[in-house]
Amino acid sequence: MRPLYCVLVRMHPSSFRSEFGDQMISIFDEITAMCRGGAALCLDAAISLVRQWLFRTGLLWKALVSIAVAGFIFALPLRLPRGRPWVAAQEPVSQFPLEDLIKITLVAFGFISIILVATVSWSHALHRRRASAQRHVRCARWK
Amino acid sequence: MLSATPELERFLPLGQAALYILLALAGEERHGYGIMLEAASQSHGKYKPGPGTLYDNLRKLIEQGMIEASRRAEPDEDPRRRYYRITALGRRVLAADVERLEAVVREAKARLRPAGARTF
Repeated sequence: MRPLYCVLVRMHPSSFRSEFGDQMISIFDEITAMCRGGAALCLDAAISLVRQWLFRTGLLWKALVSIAVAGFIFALPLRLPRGRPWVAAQEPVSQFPLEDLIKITLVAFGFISIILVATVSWSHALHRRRASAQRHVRCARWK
Repeated sequence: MLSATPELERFLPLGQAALYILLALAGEERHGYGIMLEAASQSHGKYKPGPGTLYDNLRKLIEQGMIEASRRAEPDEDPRRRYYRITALGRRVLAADVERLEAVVREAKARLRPAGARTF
């Protein structure tokens, strides 16, 4: 169980991990040395992981906004041909344009994935910078 | 009798985890595992926060200025341990929340008293 717990702790945002990661593993070692409970602690770490990334880094809102924006951008062309009679005059629109729908869905998913990856890496970099700044402040206090 | 100032009111009511953490630290400074054990003891085993919940709340309380990291572990202890202590603000917030809870208990006792025992 310990390797799994360490992986879960390592997956936390860097600012949280650098501050509390070692302490969490220390508590895990202390509890599992005395009694069982590794599974419950792993579950707690997994919940903490989701909580830290989604709610404490603001990733949830960024992801929701990204999806909403991407959805809006890609939903727009789907509706436009109906309002442009000359498109219908040139090429008749089929009753159910499944192929177009699949293509647009794939492009939309690609676009959303790119935005999500960019958001995660941006958020990760931001937290690394913040953790580094906090370390500098702490060092300055100790001095 | 204390009354919560607007400065304290924005922290109230305290969540369950925050309340037990502040209570655990009210007596003495403790490390994370010590806080977990004290919270379990104070709640008679009914509330046992895991490390993830504990440190999430500790971080929030540190950011709010209610607790602070005090010292590293003693040489004979696990070097990864870190001790935390309650600040003056934390103590005032805890006192205000306890006062709020006392008022709730008083009110509840008055309302839940058997009908025959009521004094009008």
